[in-house]
Amino acid sequence: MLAQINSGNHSISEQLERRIEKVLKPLYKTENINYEYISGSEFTDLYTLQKDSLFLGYMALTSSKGRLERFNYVIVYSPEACVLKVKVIQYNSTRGTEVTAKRWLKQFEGNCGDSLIYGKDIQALSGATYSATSITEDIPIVTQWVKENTMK
Amino acid sequence: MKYKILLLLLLAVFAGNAQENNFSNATNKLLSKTDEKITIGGYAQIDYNQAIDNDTYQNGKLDVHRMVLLFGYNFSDKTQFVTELELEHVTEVYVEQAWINHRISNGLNFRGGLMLVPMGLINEYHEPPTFNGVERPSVDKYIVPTTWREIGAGINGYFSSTGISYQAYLLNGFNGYNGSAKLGGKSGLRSGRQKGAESYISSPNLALKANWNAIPGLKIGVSGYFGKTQSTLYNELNKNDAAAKAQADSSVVGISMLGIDGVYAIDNFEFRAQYIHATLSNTKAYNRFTGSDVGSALQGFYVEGAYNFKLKNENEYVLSPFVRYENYNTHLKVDDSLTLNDAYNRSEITMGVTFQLSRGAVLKADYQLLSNAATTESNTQLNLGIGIWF
Repeated sequence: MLAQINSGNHSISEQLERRIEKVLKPLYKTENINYEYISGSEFTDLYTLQKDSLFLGYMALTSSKGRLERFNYVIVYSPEACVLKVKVIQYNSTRGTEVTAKRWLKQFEGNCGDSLIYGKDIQALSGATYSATSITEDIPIVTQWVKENTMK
Repeated sequence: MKYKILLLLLLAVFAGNAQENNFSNATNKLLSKTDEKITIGGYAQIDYNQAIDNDTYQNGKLDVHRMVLLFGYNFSDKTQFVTELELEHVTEVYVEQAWINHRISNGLNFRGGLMLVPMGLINEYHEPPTFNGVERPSVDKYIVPTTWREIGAGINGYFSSTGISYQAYLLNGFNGYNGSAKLGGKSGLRSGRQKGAESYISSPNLALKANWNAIPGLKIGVSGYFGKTQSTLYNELNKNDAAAKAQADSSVVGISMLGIDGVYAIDNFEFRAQYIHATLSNTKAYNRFTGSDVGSALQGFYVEGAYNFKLKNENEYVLSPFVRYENYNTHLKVDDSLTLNDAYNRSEITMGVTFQLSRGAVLKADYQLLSNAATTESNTQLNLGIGIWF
């Protein structure tokens, strides 16, 4: 059930592809955005985003640890590697689901890798303390890593 | 021998398949989640309670109040089982939760088993590092009988676009009468909890809750619980026996409980408030039949403010002084055969600190002024505690 997208080994399941489409389409207000794998670390895969020959920016597929389980999310970056959009695409645990709240995740938009303090830069999220603290710590780290891998 | 060879061949084929899939990248590894089928967690609360009295000596109490182990298993990314096994006061063993959750979509999950009743702030989120004070708020003990759990089934969901979650469950109710009254004036419904231990049912109860993350930092909850207590007198009752039916009907009370709660965090401040009101019907017949003194209305509320001093960072060495005022009254109203017992109208002021050593590990200290409407004197108590969850 794996659909091969762009580069050889870095396949993405159809289910994941649909979820990514749901993030990219409203953000760029266009369909058929291509993503191409460029780099990966233990928990993060980085892709370039392109519409026809126009370079749009980057996309990271990554994960953070909730109290009991990891959850997966996509970060869309501008060409300067600043956060345009964060969306949780898979949250399995039955507690802490609040971390998927769109309005709360909006707070990360514009982050260019500066570290964020949970409860100060990012409002606390009652009922999802673990997940919310983790993602607040992780997004700047991933963003720094994206910068290092793209600004060569 | 032939079978052995066949088995080896099969193994080789499976091994080959596994090899083939190994090239997939980190993303697919994450999403397949094969490494996280089993989850283990837990929480514990170790307390020292010391009553303070000017005139008499008082012994303190040291207690491993709760030690709870959580185990979860993901059958797939849609189907999950979660259980919490509790040792209370070291010697009592309970199953605190044991349920299966099946996700149809994010907005619609089926859940069934031994579940926590979604009422107020603490019953569902009762791990010590999640609340201030060594002991849980008394409203969440005497009005909402935390940890309140029964067997049942229902639906829940979360909508990330609006920040609204909901739960709706049909659950077993309180044991109101099994030869003697289980409900009483002082502790209300608390002694009627069946906890899924060979529980019996004569009529199911409905539990509802909705939470709304209105703006970042603010969470508002509304809860409802409706139904009747259970009675053993209905068992093998002849449907045509009007007298026996009337007697059985006198051994149950109707419950309508409503709760509103809110948590607001802004900068380093955190505020919590909760209001719970329960109306009990048929209490006159129940009290006359059983000789109990259960009230016909119960009410409790609290307001709490805390400030987080982040001495090192937001996870380590966070010192949070707090103060909480609560009032809870298990005799807010009584039927006309009883007189109000003012001793059941209780107020508490709790002042203390929570010191977070690391995320999930806290030291707590507080001082409580305990009073009731029947007397002008108040009691004082010092509490020290260790709380963890992981």
